[in-house]
Amino acid sequence: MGPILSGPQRKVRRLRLLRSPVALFLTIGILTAAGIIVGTNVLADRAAADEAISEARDTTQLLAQSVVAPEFPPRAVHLRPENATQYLIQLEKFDSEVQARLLKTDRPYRINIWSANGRLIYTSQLDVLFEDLFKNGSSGQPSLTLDDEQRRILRKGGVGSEIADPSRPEDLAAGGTEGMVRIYTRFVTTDRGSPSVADQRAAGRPVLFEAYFPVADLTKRRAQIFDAFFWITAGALVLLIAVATAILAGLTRELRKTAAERERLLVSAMDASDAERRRIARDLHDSVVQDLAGTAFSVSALARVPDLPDESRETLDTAGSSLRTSLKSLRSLLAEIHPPDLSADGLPAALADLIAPAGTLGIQASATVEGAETASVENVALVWRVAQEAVRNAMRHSDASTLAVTVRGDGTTLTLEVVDDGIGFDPARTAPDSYGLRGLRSLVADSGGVLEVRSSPGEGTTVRMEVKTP
Amino acid sequence: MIVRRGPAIVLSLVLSAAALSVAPALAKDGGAAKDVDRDQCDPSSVSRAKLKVEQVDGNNSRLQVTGTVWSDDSDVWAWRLKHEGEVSDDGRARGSENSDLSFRVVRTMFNLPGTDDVVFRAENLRTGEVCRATVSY
Repeated sequence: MGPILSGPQRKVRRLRLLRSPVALFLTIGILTAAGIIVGTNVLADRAAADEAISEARDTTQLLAQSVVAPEFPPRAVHLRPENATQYLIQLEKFDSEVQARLLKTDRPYRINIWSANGRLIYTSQLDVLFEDLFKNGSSGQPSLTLDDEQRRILRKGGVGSEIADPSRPEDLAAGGTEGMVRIYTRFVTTDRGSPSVADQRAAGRPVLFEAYFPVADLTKRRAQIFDAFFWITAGALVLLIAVATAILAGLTRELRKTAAERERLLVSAMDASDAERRRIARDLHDSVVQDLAGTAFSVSALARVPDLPDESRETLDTAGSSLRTSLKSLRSLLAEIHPPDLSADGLPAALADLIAPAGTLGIQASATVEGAETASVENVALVWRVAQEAVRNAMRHSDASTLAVTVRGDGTTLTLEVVDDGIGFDPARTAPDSYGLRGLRSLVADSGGVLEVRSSPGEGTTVRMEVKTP
Repeated sequence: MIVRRGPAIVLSLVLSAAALSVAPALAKDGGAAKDVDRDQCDPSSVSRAKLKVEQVDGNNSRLQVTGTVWSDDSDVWAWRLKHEGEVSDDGRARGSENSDLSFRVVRTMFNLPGTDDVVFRAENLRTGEVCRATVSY
C-alpha cells in the first residue's frame, strides 16, 4: 500500500505527471495520431469507394468481352415485337448460360443488353423484357430507352456508371433497383463460328451490355479495401508511438537521474560552501572581531586619560573611531558571509546588519519586521537571501538616498519588500533578473512563492517577494 | 322402398376414380394441357423418351424443360429441343452404365405469354430410331 498523500501533495504529483515529457509526448502523439487516422480514413474511404467502383467496372468489361460476347446470338439484334417469339427462342440458350455463369453468383444482380438502335433485346429480368415487347410493343416504339451517356458509350466505347434511379422505367425491375449501381460498356456481336448467313450478317454490330451491382456489395468491397488501409495506418502509428514513448521514457529516466545527481552535487557543494563560510565567520567573530572590539575599547579608554596631551588624545580618538568603523564593516561583512541567526527572532538583527553599510554610502536605510514570529526557518532564510541580493543591488546600482526593507507576515503569507528611491531602470531594456535575482526567482518559485521586480527610469525600484507560510 | 347401399357406394367410388383419371391438367392459360409426355419411340425397341415441362421455382418467366431417353444401349443420340417451332437448343448425348443407359437434357426456356409448345426429339444415330415427346404448357 502506497503512502497516504495530502491534498496538496496529490496536486503536486498530478502537476508533475502532467509536466512529464512522456505524458506530454503521449498526449501530443495520440492527438496527432488521431488526426492522421481521421484524415487517412476520409482519404482511404474515398479511395476505397473509387477502387470498388473501378473493380465493378473492370468486372463488367470482363463479363462483356469474355462471357457475354462469345455466347450472345447475333441475330437477337433483330428482336422486335412483331418477331419476338422467333428471336426470343434464340436467346434461351444464352439465357441458360448467363443464368448459370453470371447470375448464380449474385454478382451482378441483373444484366441488360441493348441493341444499337436503343431497344432492350435481353434482360435477365425477363418480365421487364416481355412487358416491353408484348404489352407496349403494339405501337412499335420501345417504352424503355437509353440515356445520352449510354448512347455515347454505345457509339464510342468505354465504360459508364451511374447510381440506378428506381423511378426510371429502365431501372425498374421486379426485385427493385434501389441501392444499385449500373455499369455499362459496349461489345460487338460475333457469329460464334456459325455457318448461318443470318448469323454472319448480324455479326459485328455494337450492343450495350449493362450490369447492375448492389451498392451494398460495393460498400462491402469498399470496407474490405478500407480495412486494410486502416489497420496499416493505425497499426504503424500506434507502433511508432509505442516505440517512441519507450525511448523517450528511457531518455527521460536517464535525464532525471543525471539531474538528480547534479542537484545532489550542487547541494553538497552549497553545503560545503555554507559550512566553510560559517567556519570563517565564526573564526573571525571569535578572534578578530573580539580583538578589534577590545582594542577599540582600550584605545577609547586611553583617549579619556586626563594627562594625555591633546595631540595624542586626538590621535587616539581618531584611531578608536576608525577601529569602530572597521568593526562595524567587519560585522556587516560577517553577516553577509553568514548571518549569525536566521531564525524568526533573529531576522530583524540580521536585516539590520545587512543594511548597516548603507550609512557609509549616504543612504538612509531602514529595516522593519512585523508578524514574522511564526515564520519557518526556511522562509526566514529565503527572505534574508532575497533581501541580501536586493539590498546589495540597491547599494551598488541605484544611487538611492533612502532604502526601506520591510517584512510582513499575516499568518498565511510572508511578504518582503525592498524599496529604494534610486535611478531605477527600464525593464524593457534591462532584464530585471540581470542583477543576480535569476537564481533567487527559481528558488522562490521552488518554495511556492512569487518574486517580482518593478522599476522604471527615475522612479526607483521595488523588489517584492511573497511566500506562503506553512 | 328398400335401397341397397353397398353397390351404390362402390359404383360412386368407381365413377369418381374414373373421372379423376381422365380429367386433363389445366394449362397456364386455363386450357387443357399436360406437363409430361412419354413416347415409346420405335415399338419394336425397348427405348422410350419422356419430356417434362415445369415452371422454375420462384420465377414466372422461365420454364425448366427436362428431356430423358432410356435406350438400354450406349449409342449416340442427336437431340433437339424446339420451342414454338424454333430450335431452342440441340446437341448429342448417350447413356452410360453409370446413368442406367439413359441420358437427360435439362434446359430453361422462356415462359412466353400464352401456351408454350415444347418438342423434344431424339434420334439414334446408329439405328435411326426416333423418339418424340411434345408438351403444350
